[in-house]
Amino acid sequence: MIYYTILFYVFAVLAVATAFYVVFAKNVIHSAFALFGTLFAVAGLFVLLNADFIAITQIMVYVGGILVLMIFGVMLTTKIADIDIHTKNLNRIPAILFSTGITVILIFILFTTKWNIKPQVQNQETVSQIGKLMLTTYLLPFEIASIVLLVALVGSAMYARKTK
Amino acid sequence: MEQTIISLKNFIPECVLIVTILVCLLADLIVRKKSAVVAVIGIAGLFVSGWFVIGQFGVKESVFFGMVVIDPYSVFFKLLFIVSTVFIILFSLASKEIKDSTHTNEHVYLMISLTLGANLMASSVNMLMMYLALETVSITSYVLAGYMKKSKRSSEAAMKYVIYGAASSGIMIYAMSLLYGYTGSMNIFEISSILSKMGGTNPMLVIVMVMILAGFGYKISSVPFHFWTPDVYEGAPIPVTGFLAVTSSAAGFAVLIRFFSVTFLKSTTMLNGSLQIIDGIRWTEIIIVLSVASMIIGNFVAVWQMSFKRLLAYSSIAQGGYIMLGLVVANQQGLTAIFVYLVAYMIMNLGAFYALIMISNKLNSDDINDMKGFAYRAPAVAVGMGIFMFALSGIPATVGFVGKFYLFSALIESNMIWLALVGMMNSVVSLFFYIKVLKYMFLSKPDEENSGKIYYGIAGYVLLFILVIPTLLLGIYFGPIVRFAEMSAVMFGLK
Amino acid sequence: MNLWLFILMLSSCDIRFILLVLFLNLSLLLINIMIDINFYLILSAILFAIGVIGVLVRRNAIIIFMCIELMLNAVNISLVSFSSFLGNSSGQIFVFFVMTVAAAEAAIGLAIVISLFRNKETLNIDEINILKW
Repeated sequence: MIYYTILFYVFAVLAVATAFYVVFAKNVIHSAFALFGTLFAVAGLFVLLNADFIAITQIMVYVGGILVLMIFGVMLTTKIADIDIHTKNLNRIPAILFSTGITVILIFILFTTKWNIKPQVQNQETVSQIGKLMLTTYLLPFEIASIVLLVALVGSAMYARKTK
Repeated sequence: MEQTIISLKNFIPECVLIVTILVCLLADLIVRKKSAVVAVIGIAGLFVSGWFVIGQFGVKESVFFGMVVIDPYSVFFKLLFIVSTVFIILFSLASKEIKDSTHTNEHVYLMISLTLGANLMASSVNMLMMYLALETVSITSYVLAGYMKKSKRSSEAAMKYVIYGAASSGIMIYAMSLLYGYTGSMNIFEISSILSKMGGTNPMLVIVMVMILAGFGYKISSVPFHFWTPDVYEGAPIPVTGFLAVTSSAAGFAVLIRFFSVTFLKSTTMLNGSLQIIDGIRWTEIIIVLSVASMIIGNFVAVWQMSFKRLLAYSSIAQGGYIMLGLVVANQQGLTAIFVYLVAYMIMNLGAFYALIMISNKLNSDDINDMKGFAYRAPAVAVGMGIFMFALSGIPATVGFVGKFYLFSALIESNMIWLALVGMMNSVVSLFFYIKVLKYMFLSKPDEENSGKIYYGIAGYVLLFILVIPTLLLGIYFGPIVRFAEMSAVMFGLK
Repeated sequence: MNLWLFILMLSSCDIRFILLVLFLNLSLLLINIMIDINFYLILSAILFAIGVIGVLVRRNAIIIFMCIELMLNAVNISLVSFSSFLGNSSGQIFVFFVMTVAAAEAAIGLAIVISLFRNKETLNIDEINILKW
């Protein structure tokens, strides 16, 4: 149990620290690599929460897909990859105060709410459960997701294509 | 398996839309240039789908394991979306901006995908399905907003739209996750019955409601979440702007009304007379604040706008405020009034946007200053625009008046007289800017260098005429739409 | 806290030593608390707020997209933790759809970024000023 606790703290600290770095780094590429750390830490937390399949998907989709896309975006929009894209930080203090306010309120309501929870069941298999749900209860969203992806495909192809 | 097949039987309209999207995609790949063929296929598909939707009238069934429901409420919205999409595709054939943008026909099937998403938004009763349908609509509209990719304005509009949209839907699903944790369910009927049992005296629920309103309010461009509206309306091509103003925001209303009136009303008491709000969850007060703010900001800021598209953006923010007034009443009568108003809103806005397309095709601008003396150059179009402007401001004998009349009388009957007064005062303010457009068109002389007559093809006049007729006719003979609205104001699970 | 350690800590007047001892004590304290759902929820709230700060403060479009991904990750943590503690898999399914939509949104967003960059060579959304606010 103590390993569980230690691992939780390691992943939590890693996630929060890298998330801060994503937000406040001067260099866009640094932000992208910090985001890699956050995504990885979140995947670790998913493992601790018995969501092994989601953890793998997190690595595959976010790290393998979205993050690579982001880095491509950075590279295509700057002539040199490691150049410091000039970023101004406007209204930093009000934004930070506002967000701290949100955090405090959220933490307050999270503590005062009685969640209707059971003790966690360890080592329970999720893959078969998710597979069954996907093809029964959540069949329609599963199919509609394909339309969303089709639209994204058509849209990005439209933007990327050369026009005469 | 059994249930999936039974569900598919009730899901034919959406299946037809999906097939239409794929057929249009293939046709576009074969034709490979701008052509009306793809648009015609799209419109045919929409008509077939509409035919099946009409067949669903009166059905009340929950399909696909409680993901979506078929009820008169959703049928009403589906018809609204399909009719408006048919018009918008016709507009996009007429629009010069779309013609000059790219050399293929993506817009047709993107618009049909948006309609599919909107249909699902109107019928979904599960938070997951609501989120997914909302994102289908959003992602499609991001692409459409940046459709003129050579224009800086258009890509900027798309950029702002994506950033606002993604952030606000992120806020919305955070709240949805909290609601899921609190009740242990995604189905809004189950959530409602659990909340009724527990009572709502929990500060978390207020935060959840506000955060969920951020997601839905962004779709209907209600006031604190309206910042994208003027920019996106100005940057996007006009047919797309009309589409966002009509279909996308009506879809936002569909999901907003269903979510709030199913989730936060006592499930034991049924929709007859007044509904009972779960103790402690006073969502109508939040809606009142948003609605009054939308009306006031929309109408007052519109007075200073000189770009016609921005003017229509603020006007649609204000119209959204009026529609939310109907939700505040929270009974059958309020819902009927909302439906009457939505029909009116669709006709008037489609008309106004079409007249704007005709004007800007010739003038290459949407600045009101450039429209000086337009009535001398193209009298028919100017008169049409005048009728739509009068309808939008709610002058009697137009369809806009009928909508406002039903809304305000629903408010007065539930003793919310001050809200009705605020609404009426706002209508008076809105007269200023709608009339301002007409003043420029009719009362000022055109500049010397461009005062020649402007002619349009016969098809253009016919389409304008088709939109003018219901605006005037339904303003006088409004029995049918009121009866249709009364029949449709029935939601699944609420008697 | 151990009394001897406390005396030792005060007597050595070395700030680094005092901090080390405090840190060790704090970690012992934290490790002995059972990790329940509130820990995950607070972590998710903090990540969410960091994402919101980023969206409000940063002006580079790509970084804003990254911050939106942070917000979505916070949502995913809260969904998975609820799903795990409620013993109900729907939350995990929701996470799949959030990921799908995030991927689609990132693809569209970056396509728009690149199209914008072709038209005008900046990504700072303050410099995107043809349209007024």
